[in-house]
This record gives sequence, C-alpha cells and structure tokens, in this order.
Amino acid sequence: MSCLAPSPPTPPSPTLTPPCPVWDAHMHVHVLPGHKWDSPPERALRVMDPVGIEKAVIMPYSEIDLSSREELELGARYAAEYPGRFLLFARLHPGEGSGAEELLEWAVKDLGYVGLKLHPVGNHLSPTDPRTVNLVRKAAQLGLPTLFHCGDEELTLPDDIGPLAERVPEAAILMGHCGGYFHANSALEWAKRCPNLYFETSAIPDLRLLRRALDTLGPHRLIWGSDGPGCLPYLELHKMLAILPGFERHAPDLFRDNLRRLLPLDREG
Amino acid sequence: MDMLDAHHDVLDAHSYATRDHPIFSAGRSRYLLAPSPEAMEDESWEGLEAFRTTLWRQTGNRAAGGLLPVHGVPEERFERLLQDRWWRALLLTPVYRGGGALDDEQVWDRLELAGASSLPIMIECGVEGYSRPQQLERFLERLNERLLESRPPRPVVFTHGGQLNISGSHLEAAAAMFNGHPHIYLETSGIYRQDFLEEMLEQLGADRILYGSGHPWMDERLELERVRILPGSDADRSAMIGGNARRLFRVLSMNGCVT
Repeated sequence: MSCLAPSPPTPPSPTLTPPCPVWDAHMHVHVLPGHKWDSPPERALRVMDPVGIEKAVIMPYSEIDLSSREELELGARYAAEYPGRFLLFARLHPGEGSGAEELLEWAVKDLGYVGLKLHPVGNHLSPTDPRTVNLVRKAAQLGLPTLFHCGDEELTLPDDIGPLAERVPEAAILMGHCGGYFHANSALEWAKRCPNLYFETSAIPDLRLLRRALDTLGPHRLIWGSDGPGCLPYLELHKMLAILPGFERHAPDLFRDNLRRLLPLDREG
Repeated sequence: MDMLDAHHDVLDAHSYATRDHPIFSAGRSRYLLAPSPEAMEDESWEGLEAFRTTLWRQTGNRAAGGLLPVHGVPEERFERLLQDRWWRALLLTPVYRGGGALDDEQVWDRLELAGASSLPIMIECGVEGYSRPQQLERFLERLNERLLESRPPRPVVFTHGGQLNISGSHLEAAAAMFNGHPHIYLETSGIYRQDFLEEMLEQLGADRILYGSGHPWMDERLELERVRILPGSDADRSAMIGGNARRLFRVLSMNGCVT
C-alpha cells in the first residue's frame, strides 16, 4: 500500500432491500489519510446502509503492531462510536513468543473482539508455521473464528490453509475469497475434507463456483462477506440475490446466521 | 436480461463461445467472441473453422465479431483466418494449447502480418507467469519499439483492468500502465475492487473503458451490473457498454450506423 494519491470521493452506493437481516463478514475500517484505500468507519457505513447491512465484521488493511495496544483500542472506539454496527476482528501478526496470543486474549476480554484475521501476504508466515498454528489454536480456545485471506498468492492458497484446518480441527476457519480467481476449486476440495473450513464469498466473480459450493457443502458452510468498502457490498449482495437462483432461499443462513453461530456473542446470549 | 440490455446497444468485448454462452439464450446483447478452448483442441481445426459459421447460423448478428487467438493456431491456418474480416482483434491468451508467452518471436511475427497489423490487440491479463504487470510492461516497451514508425499507436486492450489479484497487490502497477499509455483500453470483467474501476473512470475517462463479461470464468449479469452502476452520464454508460467497443473494433450499431 504505497499509493498515496487521494482517490475520488466514493460515489453513492445503489440501494437494495435484502430479504433478511444481513451481517457482513468482511469489511475494512482503517484510517489512512491521503491513501486511496482510506477507510474511516463512515465510509464503511456509507456502503452498508443503502443495502441494509445491520452489522459488519471490521478489520484494518494491515497487521496490528504487537508492541502497541493502541490500534486494537482504536477498533473498539469505532465500535463504541457506532453502537451495534461493527464486530471486531483482530488482524494480528502471529509474531514471536506468546505476544500475539496474549494480545488476542486481552482484546477479547477487555475490548470485545470476536474474531481473528490473518493475512499471510501481510505477515509472511505460512499458515502451518508453528506461530500461526498456535495463534489459531488460541483463537479457537477463546471461541473465536479465524478469517484467512485465501487467494492466489503464495502462503494464501487453499493448499496452504487446508493443512492448518486439518491440524487444528477445533478452529473455525473462514477462507476469505474462497481461493480467489484461480484456486477456488482447490478451496472447495479442502472444504469437502475439513468440516471446520467455511467459504467466505467476497469478491469472487466465478458464480459457478458459489453454486457448486452451495450444492456440495450445503447452506451452512457459506458465509457472505463483501470485502468492502473497496469492493461494493451492493454488488456482492446482487450476485447472491439477483443472479444465483436458490440462494435467496437460504438467505438467513448465508447472510447472518452462519456467521453469528461462529461468534462468541451468541454463545453468551 | 435486464433493462440495460433492453434499452442499450450492449456489446460485450470479451468472452469465449462455450456451449453455455449467454448468446444462446434470450437477449439482445451482442458479443465479440473468442473460440472456446474445446474448439481449439480439435486437431483437425475443423472446430475453429466451424466456429464462425455455426455461431452465425445460430445467433445471427448477435455474434458481432471474433477475437482471433494468436497462440495455438498453425501458421498457414492463422494466415488464412486473417483473410476473413470477421475477426475484430487479435487475442493473446495462455488459455489455448501452445499458449506460449507474450514475448515469443512467433507472437511478434504474427502481430506484424499483413491483415493483422490493422487489428487491435487484446491481452488476457492477470495470469501468473504470462500477463502480470511486469510482463505487460515488457510487452508494451517492445510494441513501442516496433511501432516507432507507425502513428497513431496501435490500440491494446488489457482485460480485467490489467490485473487479477484479490489482495490488490497489482492495482497500483495496473493504474500506472493505463495512465502511462493512452492507447491502452481497460476491459472491466472480474475487476477486484469497484473503487479501482471508479478511479480508472475518473482518470482515463469513459472513452477508454470497455465492458466485457469474461464468460465463462465470470458472469455476464454481474459484470454488466459492475459497469451499469458506475458514476457518470447516460452517454458515458452507453459508451462503456458498447459504443467504445463498436468504435474500436469497427462494429456497426444495432441500427446499422457507424458509431
């Protein structure tokens, strides 16, 4: 992220009325003044509100510095500023020693974080590196799901993430982008093998794959996300509701309940 | 198909003629079509020969023109196909047998053949080891060297906004290429991040944006919606979803007019 030219103002999102309450499993909130991807919470809300998104899981675009708790506190401030709108996932670098695990536990207990986000392109660690395995295991112990960026780059491939899911079967792992443009079939094969792997549907344009995933995995293993605000929630909802026949029938599961079941909030009532 | 299809002269600049192509269903959209990979697998090349006539017979003028693969077609066959003015662009893609590389000598020989040199070039972008920004830059440098004597520069279409990368790593490089080369057109299918497309529209203007579906790997309905909701005037939208492609590829409009 070195592109410092300011982007044009975000045009208003088209509107859409979803058939059920919607929670977005993948939204970025990260204040980056002067950067094209500058995403304050208000930008997220500008794309959520026109399509009826109740809540969004938010995370920054880069790894949180383990030496400082300020960035995690910032997420909590956004959540407090807009009550009921944001669910917090901690985007951590698995790091050395137990620093990340302790930080995650603190974020959950003191700040209300409900998930872990890992992006191997950002942290340069294999999903099966012991540091990553330990952090994902810790998340599972805390009752949190882990959202992985799962695309076409080294370390993020389904073949990288699948073995982690096998090694930590107690962890709920969301494959964000379902393997991207070129590895979606592999993601589906791994999801068939590992019941703790979920398809997070953001930004993938191959709708035949989503159809196959629904038919193969059933409606409880797909979780809708937008990767907003850069990827437009309107388009992500449009592809599931207006284009894919049969998806609307499972709307409550796809758009909210599958995610909600994985989060600690429900289990605590 | 939706209202956009019904009220506009939609020309999809980029798709492959598979058996489940939307051209075989109801609708008014027209298409520039590359042969399906299956047609290209036919050793006798009858599939490719039959490609155009079959399409024409089944779909009439909704098949507005062809994208002629540069790779994977034997030399004599390629030269013969070039005689047919139905082909509207040369397509560089690793999809086909013998996909080669963008800087193969065979590619350059074919791009300069009589009959080929007047056709725009379309490149299937975003493929690892084939058409990531690094390889595209090298291609453009070489094209520039070869064409120093020919002005105006030959139009090139980069599909998928010049990149396919779901973490956004190549967006900046793609934007730099579009901004640095005014003869490159942006085809919209499968673009990661709508704000990138909005930014490109702002910087390049609507005249350099071409709607494409990317069928079969992408979905026409989603891809058309991606362009339909872009900011701008109706005239801009008409240009992006068909007018620009008609002008670039010399396709008549639905009512028979030259754009």
